[in-house]
Amino acid sequence: MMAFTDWTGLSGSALVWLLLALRLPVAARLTNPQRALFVAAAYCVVMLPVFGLSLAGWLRGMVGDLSLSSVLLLGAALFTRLRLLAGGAADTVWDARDRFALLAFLSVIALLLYPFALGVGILDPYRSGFAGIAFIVALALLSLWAMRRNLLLLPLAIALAVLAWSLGWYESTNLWDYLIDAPLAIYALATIGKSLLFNVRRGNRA
Amino acid sequence: MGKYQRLALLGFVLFAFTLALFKASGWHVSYGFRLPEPPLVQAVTPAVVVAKPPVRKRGRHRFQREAEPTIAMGRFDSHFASSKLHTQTHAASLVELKDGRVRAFWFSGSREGAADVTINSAVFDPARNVWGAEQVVTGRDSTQRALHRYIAKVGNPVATRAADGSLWLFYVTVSLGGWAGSSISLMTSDDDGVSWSAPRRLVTSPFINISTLVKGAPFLYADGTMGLPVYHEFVSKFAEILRLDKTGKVIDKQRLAAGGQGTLQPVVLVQSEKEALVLTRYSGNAEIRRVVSIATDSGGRHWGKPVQSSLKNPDAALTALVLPDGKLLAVLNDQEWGRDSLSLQISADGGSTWRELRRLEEMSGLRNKIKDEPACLRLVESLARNSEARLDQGDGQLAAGHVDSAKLRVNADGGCAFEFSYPYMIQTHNGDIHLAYTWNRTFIKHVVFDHAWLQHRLKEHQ
Repeated sequence: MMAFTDWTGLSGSALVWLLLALRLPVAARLTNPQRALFVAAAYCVVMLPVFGLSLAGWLRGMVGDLSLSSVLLLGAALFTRLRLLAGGAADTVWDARDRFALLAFLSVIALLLYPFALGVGILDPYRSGFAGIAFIVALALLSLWAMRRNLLLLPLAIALAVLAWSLGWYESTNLWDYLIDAPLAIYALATIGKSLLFNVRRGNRA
Repeated sequence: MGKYQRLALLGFVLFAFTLALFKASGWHVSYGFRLPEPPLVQAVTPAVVVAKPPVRKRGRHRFQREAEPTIAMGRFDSHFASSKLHTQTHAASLVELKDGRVRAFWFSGSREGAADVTINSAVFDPARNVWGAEQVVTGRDSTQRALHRYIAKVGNPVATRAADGSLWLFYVTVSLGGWAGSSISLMTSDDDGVSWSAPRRLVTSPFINISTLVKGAPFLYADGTMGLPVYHEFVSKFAEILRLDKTGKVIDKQRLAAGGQGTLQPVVLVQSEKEALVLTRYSGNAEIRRVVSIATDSGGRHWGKPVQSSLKNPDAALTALVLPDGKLLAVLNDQEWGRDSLSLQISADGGSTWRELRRLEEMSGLRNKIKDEPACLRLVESLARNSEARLDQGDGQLAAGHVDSAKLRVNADGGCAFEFSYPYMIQTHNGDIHLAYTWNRTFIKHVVFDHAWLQHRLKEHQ
């Protein structure tokens, strides 16, 4: 029988496959009810083990369980895609300022976490994720600060991660794994880096 | 963001963090080690009379095991724990069963890292002095099905007994890349290894959970939680200790050395409730290659700086244990290059100095000297027969099978290269010391000796 944490981990990976499935030309030709059925069928297909391994399981083996931040962004992307296919607006769910704040936060923690976790120095910030109260308090203060700045996505992503960790949503017992994952860190660093580069170039031209 | 939206978000944030703080407040890690139960060592008799072993017609050459005397001081014996022919075997570990037998685990397959590699096990019965049949415990396919994720290969099984009496078996799984992409899975058994739970994956690293490997024997903290010596290989190499609660969940991780210091495959030697010494394989670039030692006198709360020990190390695994009288016993390749000798060493001063008690294997003297295949195979046969008395029985088919199996590895490139590596040693409750190691990558060799033999060797080397 599949453990709850396997289902949650696989479902996160399934989101990636669903987004890819909605890029297929057939998805655009369906009516809305048909598209809902298509998404449900695609979810079943990617979760169904074939020769002992599902598509979601294959991806999970490659990239691990996706953080709640990734799930939130992928969920929003899925919603946007469905809305677009239904003839709605192509706007993203979150506004640019919200997305930037979250990705900037993820970039900073990626730079704080990964080099040290991979062996730079003797201190390992990953250790604080097992139950560091100071770490949790720091995240709470950051969330409240973000709310004061009228940011929605950043405190929501942090609170979702913290809640999921508290409930044991994934097999990991470490809060860092709920906040960030390696593919998201790469995406965040690339996006923020590109944005900063663009701003620098624009500044130079001005 | 509207007023109600903001209030809803605030409520959600406060709820999430209240729950998290509640959970974190219940998390507690205490320091201090649990000492293993001292073995029930029988009084040492001055001499144990044993029957003179039959003279071996073959395999007698200058490298053969020392001829057993008519009156032996104690017991020293060896066997092959694995029995499958024409496979590669590696990375054995041992655990004592409740009835005094010893169960070994290792990985076996067409080659290291192949998809057909399985984690195998067999049981040694000290009363009958024989190993039972080799059985498959788990493999790539069953692990993949149970973990619901792609698994490319399995390796390095390490077994131990948890505080509740159940057996725990850790082993590494790789989804992507080489061994540096490993993560650790855990299976448990309530019937001493007859049946096993489905594996569970330990999440130990933030980067796709890769690069945590296990080799050394686990130990217990005073509160019954388990310390698992592990190591990291991706980007840089360093030794760590994972701490698992009584259900096998990871509750803490401590880095023993910074990356770049070349510490791999730590072995933790618990000397008292507060003191422990870690010995690690050295995998750095220093010219002088020595085992690295790291000590604590605070029950594992703080660990000292890594220092070079006096033990040589050719970037190879070692094993060690603490004897009841406080002496340390280690088995390793006591040379800076190559794994073609294996040495039993003892330290009476907590690891500051070591001396050799016995050279268990010695082929370094012949390195690059044997060029022709027949001479090499005669040597392999001789070594195999000296390792396992059973090979002298029957019509020689078994010995021929062993030689043919070892040939693929020893004589792989037309030379004659031996390997004795990945030792793993335990002391059982009757005081016997069991050692398992990789024998030319084709068999797992088991060596057992008792307290009397050890005492005798100590006296000889005084």
